[in-house]
Amino acid sequence: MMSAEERVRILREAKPNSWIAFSEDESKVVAYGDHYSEVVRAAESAGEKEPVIVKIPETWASKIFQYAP
Amino acid sequence: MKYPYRPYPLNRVDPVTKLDYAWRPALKVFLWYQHRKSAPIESILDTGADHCVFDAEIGDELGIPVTKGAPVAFTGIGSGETTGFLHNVTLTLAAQTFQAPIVFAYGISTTGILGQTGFFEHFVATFDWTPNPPCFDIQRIQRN
Repeated sequence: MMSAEERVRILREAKPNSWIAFSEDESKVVAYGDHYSEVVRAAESAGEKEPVIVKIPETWASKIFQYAP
Repeated sequence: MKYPYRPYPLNRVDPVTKLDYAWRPALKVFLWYQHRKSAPIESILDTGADHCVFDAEIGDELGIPVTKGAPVAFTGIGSGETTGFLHNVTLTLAAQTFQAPIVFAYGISTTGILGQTGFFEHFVATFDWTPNPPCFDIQRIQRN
């Protein structure tokens, strides 16, 4: 698993409203994509069978009730 | 089993923690629908959420007819109302597999939320800020 600082940097630098796939052990990024289906396929193409998927929000604001649009 | 909180960026330094990121409790969740399985979805435990909510793109990819589900309107603090669509799916998380009602919504700002109905009703959750980073533990509620 990568350091907290590295993970935060990667998430912060990712394109807003996109998706990111980490390796199963979360040691590296294996794919980026504009859509869930795209990032999963890209991760699988990169040889990652169980990529951990995270959606990048429009903004990294503090959260109160996570599902606020 | 204890799970570490995960760090998420903040767009400004938090005036209390003095950090430009926040620790949040998150789990990897698989969603199943008619033998199709999602990738592991990093999902936040949110005790203030009435339901479990996931981005509808995940439902689309699983073959769920998302917009045919019962509509569920929801909102967060200080924001407009969003409509999601309810479907019963199978969740696998923390080595537990169970059926749960999930709201799928388009354009939400997170990958997945584990809320009261569908998640906390099945688990005793303990959040522990003693270590750094914080951690949490969940135990399945055994019902006859």
